[in-house]
Amino acid sequence: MMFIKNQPSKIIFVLCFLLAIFGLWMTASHAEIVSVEDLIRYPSLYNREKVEIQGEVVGDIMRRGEYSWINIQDGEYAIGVWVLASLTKDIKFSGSYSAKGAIVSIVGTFNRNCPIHGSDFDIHAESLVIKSNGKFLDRPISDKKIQLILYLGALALCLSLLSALRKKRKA
Amino acid sequence: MLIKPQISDIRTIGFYLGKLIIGIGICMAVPLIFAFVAGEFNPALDFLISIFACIAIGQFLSIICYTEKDLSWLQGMVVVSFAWLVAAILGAIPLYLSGHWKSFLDACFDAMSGFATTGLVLVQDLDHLSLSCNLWRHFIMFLGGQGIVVIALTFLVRGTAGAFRMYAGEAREEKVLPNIINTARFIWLVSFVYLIIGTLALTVAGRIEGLGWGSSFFQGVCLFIAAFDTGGFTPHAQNIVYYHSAILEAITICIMVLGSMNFNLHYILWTRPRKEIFRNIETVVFFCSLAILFFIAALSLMNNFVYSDTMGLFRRGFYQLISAHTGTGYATINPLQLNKWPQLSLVMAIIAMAVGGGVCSTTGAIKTLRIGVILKAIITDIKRLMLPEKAVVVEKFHHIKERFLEDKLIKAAAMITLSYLGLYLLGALAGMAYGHPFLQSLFESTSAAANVGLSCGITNVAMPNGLKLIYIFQMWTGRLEFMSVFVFIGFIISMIRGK
Repeated sequence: MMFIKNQPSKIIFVLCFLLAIFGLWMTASHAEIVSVEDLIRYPSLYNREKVEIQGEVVGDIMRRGEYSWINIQDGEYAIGVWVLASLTKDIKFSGSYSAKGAIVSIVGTFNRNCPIHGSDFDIHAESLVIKSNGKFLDRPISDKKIQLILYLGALALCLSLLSALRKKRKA
Repeated sequence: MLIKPQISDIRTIGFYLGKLIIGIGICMAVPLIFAFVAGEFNPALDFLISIFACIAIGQFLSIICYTEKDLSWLQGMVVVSFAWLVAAILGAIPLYLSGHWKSFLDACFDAMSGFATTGLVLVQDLDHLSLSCNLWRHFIMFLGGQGIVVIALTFLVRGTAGAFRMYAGEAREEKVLPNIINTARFIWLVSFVYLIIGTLALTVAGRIEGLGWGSSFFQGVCLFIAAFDTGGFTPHAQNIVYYHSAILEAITICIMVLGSMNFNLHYILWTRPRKEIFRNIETVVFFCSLAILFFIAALSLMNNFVYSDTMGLFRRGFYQLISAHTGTGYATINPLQLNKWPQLSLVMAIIAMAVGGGVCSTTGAIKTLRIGVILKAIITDIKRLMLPEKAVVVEKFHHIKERFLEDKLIKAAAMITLSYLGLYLLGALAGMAYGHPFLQSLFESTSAAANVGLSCGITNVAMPNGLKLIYIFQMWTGRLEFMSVFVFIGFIISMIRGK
């Protein structure tokens, strides 16, 4: 109590300092979560800002030296992310016909016209967190399709034979 | 008075149509085999269904319409225009069965877009589409780019006069070689040679840029087909943006330019001195127009701070413009970003799309030869006005050889140009009727009618069915360059109202 009474200005200074540190930490670690569609529709709002996106890794992971390009699909839209290759090594599945890609959360700087990548529309990632690993997709064969093939195949065969017979007779 | 077509006319049309349908079915064997190799059994079933459907329909038509008669001009034109519609419907079957298209109309839209080498898409979740279905999407572009009839001429139809009538109906008025079958085969030769070189270049580039060997080869084939046939489909939803690669963009630019060149010019370049390229009216108009349009578009893009650095201007601005001019539709920006371009830049892209590439190539649009002829005609008329009345002005232009600028030629060029302008306007009015702004409507309409495939966002799954049908009509009419479509419409009317 004596310390508080004697040095109030010092205490206020320490509190302000702690508050400033806390504020900086909050802005640094908690980027705004946005959809890829919003980035495409309103690029000026987020240009050069730190953003967080979540989506499925689709297609190839394209290694370029120490970095890699990955494409993240969020709903209808997708965006390229420039990320340290080491951060992508745990991605086991990327979206394709046979697999559902890993769902990742990415924090990074959004660029409407990236100065490094020829005005690309991209995000330079600082962190990548795998939310779910993805999986192989099971695509069962439809019995109805097999039935249809049998009917159509028989019809096509009959008609082809008929056509061949007709040609033979004409010849 | 309209004369009602006779039963023999309909039989002849049906017989040749049947043959073409069988041809389409045979072509589906390519993705079918690929599906089995890739272990994609569900898509393989889709292709089997489609193949059997094509063979059954084709054989049925061949049997009930059996004839030994050759095609007349009218019949040839009707067969061609009808074949393109039927091809879009039958080609859409495996697409629709894949479950990636919301409705059969959407699948037909994409199939017509593929056959007409347009590149507008309504596919959903493209990144999860099977490889075989993706190959089919690109393969139909190859078939459409070469010309469905060219395929039939090469493999199915014997060398008859009817063959030329079908060839001409497919908007190919120039023969590279005296024999039409040899011309068709030369077109295949050119395409296969470039296919090997282009695929190799794209595969190596893809590998350098971090794709696996298998993936880069598959995507190399797909990208080559869509670039050379000036189509614009890609295996991924983000189009060329997906690759984030300047090397791939540079290679695709070269392939797009090659694809937009007249097959006649390819023949000359392969067999004679290369100076033809600097003298030919088509190449001169193409490169002059590209330079002017890019200069204006670049100024507008820079003034509006869309792309401020040179690299951005080339990789985003120039790429879109050359893609528009060659009628390809490859994009390095999202349609919604393109929509945000300044109006002047959009207008330059519209003009580039409207002009297009060379005749007897895989591009759509008015084409540079016709623009060149019309410009020459205007200059000649101005010269005539400035010279004494008795002076005789004879104007020539160079296209493979020195040619006189005849009135007949000017009239034909003006007629097709006017028809195209009318078609562009029709789609623009339709777009406006559905509530879109004028410039965006004109952009999308020109893209569809000129078989380009760039979009500023109007073409999407939620688009009204009426607009989808109008764009399908535009793609079909634009690809066949009107005449055979007009004849087809006339044929239908005379069937209903003829006596």
